[in-house]
Amino acid sequence: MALMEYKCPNCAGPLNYEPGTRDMVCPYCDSVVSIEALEAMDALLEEEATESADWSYEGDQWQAGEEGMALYSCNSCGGEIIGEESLGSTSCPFCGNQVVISSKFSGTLRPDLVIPFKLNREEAKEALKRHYEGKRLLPGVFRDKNHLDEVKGVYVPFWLFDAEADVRADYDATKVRRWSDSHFHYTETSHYRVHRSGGLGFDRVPVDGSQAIDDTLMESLEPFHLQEAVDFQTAYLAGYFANKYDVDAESCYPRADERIQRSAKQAFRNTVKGYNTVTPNREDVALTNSRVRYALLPVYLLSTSWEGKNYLFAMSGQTGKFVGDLPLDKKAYWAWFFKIFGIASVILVAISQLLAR
Amino acid sequence: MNTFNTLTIFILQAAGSPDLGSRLTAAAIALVIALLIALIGVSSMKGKLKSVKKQQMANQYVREGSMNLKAQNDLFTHKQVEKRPRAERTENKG
Repeated sequence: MALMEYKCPNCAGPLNYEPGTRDMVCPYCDSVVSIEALEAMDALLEEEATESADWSYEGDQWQAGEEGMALYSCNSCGGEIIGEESLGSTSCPFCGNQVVISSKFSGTLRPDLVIPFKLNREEAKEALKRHYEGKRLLPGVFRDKNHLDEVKGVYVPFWLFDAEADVRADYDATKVRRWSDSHFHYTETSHYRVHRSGGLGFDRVPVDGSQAIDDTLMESLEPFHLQEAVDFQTAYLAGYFANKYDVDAESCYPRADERIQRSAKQAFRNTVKGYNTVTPNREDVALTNSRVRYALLPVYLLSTSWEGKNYLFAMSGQTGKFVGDLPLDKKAYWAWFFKIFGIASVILVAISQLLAR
Repeated sequence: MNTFNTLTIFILQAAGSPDLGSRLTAAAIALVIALLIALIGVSSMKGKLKSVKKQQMANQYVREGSMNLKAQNDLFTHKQVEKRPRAERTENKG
């Protein structure tokens, strides 16, 4: 018969049974562990999350020359856009270089959904002006003499991921109680093994499917209100470009997976309440019932160059959210630094001398 | 320049007092705090220039009402008590 040995959860020393009780006691650190707790811990260790998501995608394909659409490709950055045949030769919305009509396209996946443009180009230009406001460290020359190149409305390809997150998590948690008597200060730390398991659903987590557009720039435009997406019709492309996806769903899913996992873990961690400390011991997230859809989301791209550097701004054509990093005026930075330092020094030194009397 | 003059006046005033050390220490602490305020101020202004940020979470895409907690178990495992002697009051010693 095998001899069962339980280890102390605090110091890993072998536990001894305390006769006449339902407890085990550690002879090294004096921790008291209930037998029920040991049995429950054994049961939890046997549980494991096993399933994983299948993100394969099979969509409909464009038909050759569908409704007068053509494929344009940029010889400079390699970006490919789909637009009306009547556009002819145009400039690349990503790098500004001239693009040429390449061919009538076929064999490319046709989008499932589209969010139509709600805002126009003038609103994008106004948003850029507002973007400059309240930026004390923005170089004045950039603000005043900045020449804005063409504003382009582009439908950016996104993969939308749905999934159910199946979460199994264990946490080590503690509650601390302190008291004193006439001779000692006492600190009692009660240790808990907390278990949570369950599910959480995610709908339409977007991941940029275009290599030509910076992923971080597109994520900065979120949230898109994806419940407003409608079934794709080529009519929505009239007057706009549609960037052709060049990163497939399989390559994009690790990004969606990463964000879903992080949110699922946080949601379950937030259910562990009433403790002084909570440390995750195990957090397994398996994604099931996965589904991928291909969508075009509306984005205005505005680019400008200053001191040899290209600045690309983007505005959501649906919500009007405007993003784009701006240059720093170093002289203004130091001027403000010394101004704030001077004023704060005078006030604080005066107060310090009054208090030190 | 105003800052420099003000500081000089304070230091000269402080030099005439018997507790010069504590006044200078207080002034030094005040200057360090002022430096931190200036750094926080310009960092905040600089931060306004940056709006392109990676999204870490997918909280906006959680399906409403989909949170389903199948099992929750908070199990007490053990407890420890640490004790440390109270510091004796100095006035009781004399």
